[in-house]
Amino acid sequence: MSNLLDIQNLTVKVGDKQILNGLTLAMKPGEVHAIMGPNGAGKSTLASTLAGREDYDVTGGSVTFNGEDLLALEAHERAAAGVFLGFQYPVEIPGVSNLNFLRTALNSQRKIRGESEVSAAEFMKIVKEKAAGLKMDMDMLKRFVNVGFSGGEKKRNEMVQMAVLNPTLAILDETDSGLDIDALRTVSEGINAQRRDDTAILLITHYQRLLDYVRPDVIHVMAKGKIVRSGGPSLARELEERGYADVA
Amino acid sequence: MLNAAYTLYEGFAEAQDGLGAFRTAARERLATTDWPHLKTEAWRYSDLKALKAEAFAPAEAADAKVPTPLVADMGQLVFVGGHFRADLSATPAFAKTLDSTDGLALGDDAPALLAALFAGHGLALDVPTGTDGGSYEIVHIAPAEGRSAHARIKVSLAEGASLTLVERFTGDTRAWSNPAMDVTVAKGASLRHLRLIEEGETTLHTGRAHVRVAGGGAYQGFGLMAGGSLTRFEAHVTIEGEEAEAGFDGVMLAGAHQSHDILTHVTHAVGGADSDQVIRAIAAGKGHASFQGKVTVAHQAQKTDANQSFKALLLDRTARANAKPELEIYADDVKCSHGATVGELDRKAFHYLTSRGIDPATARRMLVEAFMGDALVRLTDETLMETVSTIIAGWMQAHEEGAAA
Ligand SMILES: Nc1ncnc2c1ncn2[C@@H]1O[C@H](COP(=O)(O)OP(=O)(O)OP(=O)(O)O)[C@@H](O)[C@H]1O
Ligand SMILES: [Mg+2]
Repeated sequence: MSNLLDIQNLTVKVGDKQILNGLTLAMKPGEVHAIMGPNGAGKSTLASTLAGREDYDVTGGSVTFNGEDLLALEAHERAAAGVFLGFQYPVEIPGVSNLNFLRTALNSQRKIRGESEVSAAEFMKIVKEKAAGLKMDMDMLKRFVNVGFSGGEKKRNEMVQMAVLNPTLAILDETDSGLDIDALRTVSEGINAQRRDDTAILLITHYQRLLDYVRPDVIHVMAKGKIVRSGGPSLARELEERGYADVA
Repeated sequence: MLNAAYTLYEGFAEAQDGLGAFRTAARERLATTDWPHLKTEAWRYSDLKALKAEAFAPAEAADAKVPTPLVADMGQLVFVGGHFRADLSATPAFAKTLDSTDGLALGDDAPALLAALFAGHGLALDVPTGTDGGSYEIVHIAPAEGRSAHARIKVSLAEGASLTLVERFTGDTRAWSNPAMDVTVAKGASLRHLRLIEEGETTLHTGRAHVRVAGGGAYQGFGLMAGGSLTRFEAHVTIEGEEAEAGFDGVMLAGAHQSHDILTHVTHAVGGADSDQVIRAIAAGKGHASFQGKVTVAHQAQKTDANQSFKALLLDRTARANAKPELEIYADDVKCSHGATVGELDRKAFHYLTSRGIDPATARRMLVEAFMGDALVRLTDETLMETVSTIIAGWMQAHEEGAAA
């Protein structure tokens, strides 16, 4: 089977600083991969680069998504093509309600894909169902995007957005950080629901716990801007016990 | 000579309309008043050179096409070139031609004095005690090219009366609009006053309102500056009774070469009253938006609660915004706050929106609308909010190219 995501030798500069140093990683449909690695390794930089952040300068390498050159697309086109980034630090947007944001996003993606818009009623039906699954109160969704949300609530809100937008590739940057024990289970169920034969999920995490709920096929260790080691699920335990000293 | 228009005073001097003494007083004061320039503190952000140089003679009565009301079914009171036109208006019983100088403010700078000098053909709205006067749209149609309009409106709300006025300025000529409004809100009365500037981008506009609010009364002003090349509005509000509420909110949209300037002066003469001001400005291209907000709290005005918030969003590096808040507090037991910020579009928020599939133009529009939200919600009424939003959307569309991210 061909790769859904194929990153070859990616190098990225942020400002004057080279952050990604020839990163290579490939994922097939149906797979879940996890990236672990020390703080500052470049994990979020990779995630933001894939999502199309403008101020990140790709200086070399290639990213192919679904056979297409992902780097040639603008951020909104990447989303419409099926890429979703769960932010490590979701952004607060005063004055824009979650519902308006999400409906605009969904319909904008559909328009780019040449699909018809969903009506207000259809949209509400989808959101209610997905919010209930993630135990997110509808009243919170009427509020401004992430404004006044607790750290855990922001992460859960990311998962509601993922569920509604239904991406082919979900890159989840420390979605488990800041979640209480029950929320971690709820969010994990949300991630597992997104796990299908035709989707791929890239988890960025520091903790074994998430990986107990969402079992990855492959674990990568990233350090100094590249993948330094890859292995099966047992690699996480090994890292948990020994730290990054041997690998990174 | 102050301004070329001054020479045309003779025709007005002879009018037998009860305003003669007012005009004479204006003429006398004009003789010793200089035309404002950029070093005049109150005019530091609006350059009136063009007005001084050109002879904008007061417009004569003329015919004009009246635009359809912004809010369906709202009765219209029509001014053409500064003249009230009863024949084109749906005049309510409480409206009549202005024929007395009671309660008219002369003003103290040259544009205000010229508005007084050319006062005439005005309108008086006197809403009687306990009456709801309803909602009216006052349409000001700009005069012909090179002419000036000095519309004068006096609004008096008797005890417990209420009224909503949607004043709009339309037309697309290089003309000078120089209107003045004098407002008295009696005890427990309430006036909502919208001022929407939709004139073309060559029109010059200098307007002012003098407002007095008695105990338990409310004046809620809202200004939208979308049109005009140089647009200036002053709100002078005096709170004269306890438990009164007064505010002037607004949105300025300055694109291309537009210059918008709001000056407010709220005086708390008596304590125990609230004033609030929420002004938001968007500047794009070579647009320039400025706000000067002064709050005076008199010695005896204890327990005053006065708040002022100004925020400007610059969409281009060439755009400018200025803010000059000023507090003059003589009482000691008061709550006064003011804040002024000038910033750019939040790149992180922009990226968050686009990374969810929202195209850049829509994302920008959403953030700009959200930015103005604090001011818009102050209108409280859904229909009015929608009306203003529609004009804003039109401006944004017209200025899209000037706001490339
Ligand atoms: N705008 C910037 N200018 C300069 N350096 C930057 C900038 N943004 C990120 N960096 C640096 O890039 C490196 C990688 O950051 P990144 O956020 O990708 O790390 P991370 O692996 O996600 O770390 P963490 O586990 O702490 O989330 C860090 O050293 C960071 O300081
Ligand atoms: Mg990170």
